[in-house]
Amino acid sequence: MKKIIAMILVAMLTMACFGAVAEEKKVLTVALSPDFAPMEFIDTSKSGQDQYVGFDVTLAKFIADELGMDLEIKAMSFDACQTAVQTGSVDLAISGFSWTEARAENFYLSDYYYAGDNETEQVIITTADKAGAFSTADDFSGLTVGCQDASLQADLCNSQLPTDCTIKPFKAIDDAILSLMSGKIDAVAVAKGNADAIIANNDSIALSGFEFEVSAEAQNNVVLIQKGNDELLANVNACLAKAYDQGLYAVWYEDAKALAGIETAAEVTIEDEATEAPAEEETPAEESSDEGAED
Amino acid sequence: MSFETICSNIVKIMGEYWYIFLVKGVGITLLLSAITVAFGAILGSLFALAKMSRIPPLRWLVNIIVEVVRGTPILLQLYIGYFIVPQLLPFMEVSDFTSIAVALVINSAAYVSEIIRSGIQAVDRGQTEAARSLGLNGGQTMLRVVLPQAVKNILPALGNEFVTMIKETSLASTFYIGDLMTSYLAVKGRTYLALECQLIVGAIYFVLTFTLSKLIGLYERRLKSHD
Repeated sequence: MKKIIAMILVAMLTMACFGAVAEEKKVLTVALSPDFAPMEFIDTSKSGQDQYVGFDVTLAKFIADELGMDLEIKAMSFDACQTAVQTGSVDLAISGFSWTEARAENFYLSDYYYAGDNETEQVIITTADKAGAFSTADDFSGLTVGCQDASLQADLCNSQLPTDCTIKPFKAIDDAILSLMSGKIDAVAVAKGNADAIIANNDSIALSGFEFEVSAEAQNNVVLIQKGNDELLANVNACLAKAYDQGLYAVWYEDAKALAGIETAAEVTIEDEATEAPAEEETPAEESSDEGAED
Repeated sequence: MSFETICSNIVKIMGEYWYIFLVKGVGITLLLSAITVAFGAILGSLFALAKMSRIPPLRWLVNIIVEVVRGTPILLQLYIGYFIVPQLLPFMEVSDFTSIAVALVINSAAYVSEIIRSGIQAVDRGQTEAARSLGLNGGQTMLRVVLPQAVKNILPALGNEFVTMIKETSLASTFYIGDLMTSYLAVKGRTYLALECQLIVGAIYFVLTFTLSKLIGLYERRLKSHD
C-alpha cells in the first residue's frame, strides 16, 4: 500500500513538473483585464498570446522590446491585476489604470501615458431614449448609476454625483451595461473611449450629455509596478518618454479603436472636433506628470 | 431589450463566435474538470485513508485541510492557487493552468475524501465483523469485502462531483484560463452583449452537465442490476 501511495505521489510531482520549463530569454509579464475595448480586449479570431490586442497591449510590447525582453500577457480580472502586481506574480499591470491616491500608496506608479480621449473625458452613458437629457450632476439625484468597482469612475461617481444618487459598483463594465439595458440602473459611468466602443455595438445606449470634471492627474493612465522595484520603474518611465517623443501614442490609439470597431475621428461625438493627432501635443505627458508630482 | 432582439443577437453571435464557445471553451472546460476530478479522486482517496488512519496527527492535518477547503469560497482558493502557490515553488515555473488546476484539485479532493469516507463507512459493520471472524486480516477485509461494496456508493457521487466541477471551473475565468466562461468574457468584451453571451454559455453548460448526469444515471442503473 505504501509503495502505491509513494508511486502516486511521485507521479503527481512529475505531472506538476511538466509546467516547469527553463527559459533563457527574460520575460516581462504584464497583467491586464481584457474587457475594456479599445484599451485591451480579446481578438476572438486569434488564440494564445496574440489574442490580446488594444492600446495597452501595444504599449506592453513596446516596453518589452525596449527592454530586450519577451512579453507574456497574463489576462485576469481587473481587481486581480492589482493583486498580481502586489504579490509580484507579474512585473507590470497595464490595464487602463488611472492615477488614484490609494493606488499611489500601494504601488509604484509610472509617469503618465496618453490614451486619447479614453481617459481625458469621463462620461456617463444611459439608455438611448434619455440621450443627452443630463447636463449637470444634480440631474442624477435619486437615480442609480453603475460603475466598475475599484476604478477611477467609481471615485468620480462618489465625489461628483449628488449624495442621494445611488452608486452601484459592478465587477465588470459589461455587467453594468446589462443592468442598464434591463432597466435595473439608470446610467453607467465609463471612460469616453470605452463609451464609444459600447455605443458602437449597441443602438439602445447613448451618451447622457454629462461629463465628469477630471483632474489633471486622472486624465492619463499609469503603469502599476510593485513597490520597491526602482529599476523597473525607471525603465518603464524611460520607455514611456521614448514613446511620447516618437509620437506613438496617437497612432496606437487610432489602431486600437479601429480594431475595436469604433468609427474614428468624424464619428466621435460632441465637441470632439479637434483631430486626433494634434490632441497629443495638447496633453503632453511630461507636463502633466510634473503637475502630478507637485500635488 | 425585446425577446426577438435577444434571439437574433444570439443567432448572430453564435454564427460568428461558435468556434470560441463550442471548441475552445468546451474543450478547456472539459479538460480542466476531468483533470480536477481524476487527480481530486486520487488525492481525495489519500485524504480519506488519512482520515481513517490510526495516526492522530495525520488525521488532524487532513481534517484541518478538508474543513478549511470546504469552509471557504472557491474563488479565494483560486486566488491563493494563482498567486501564492507559484511563490511557494520558486524553483519551478508553474503555468497558470497548472496553478489553477492544483487549487481545483485540492478543492475537489476535500469533497471527494468525504464522499469516499462516507461510502466506506456506509458499508454495514457486520460485513467487517463477518470477514474478520472468517480469519481475514484488516487489509484483506478492506480490499476484498468493504471496498467492493463501497465503490457502489462512491462512483455515482464521484460522477456528480464531475458535474459540479464543470460548473465550478467557470470561476477559473477570473484568470482567463480559456474555459467556457473565458469565452463568454472574450465575446461579451467584444460585443457588449452580456445577456446573450450569458444565455449561450448557460445552454452549453446545461447540455454538458445534463448529458453527463444522464450517463451517470445509466451507469448507476447498471451497477444496481448486479445486486
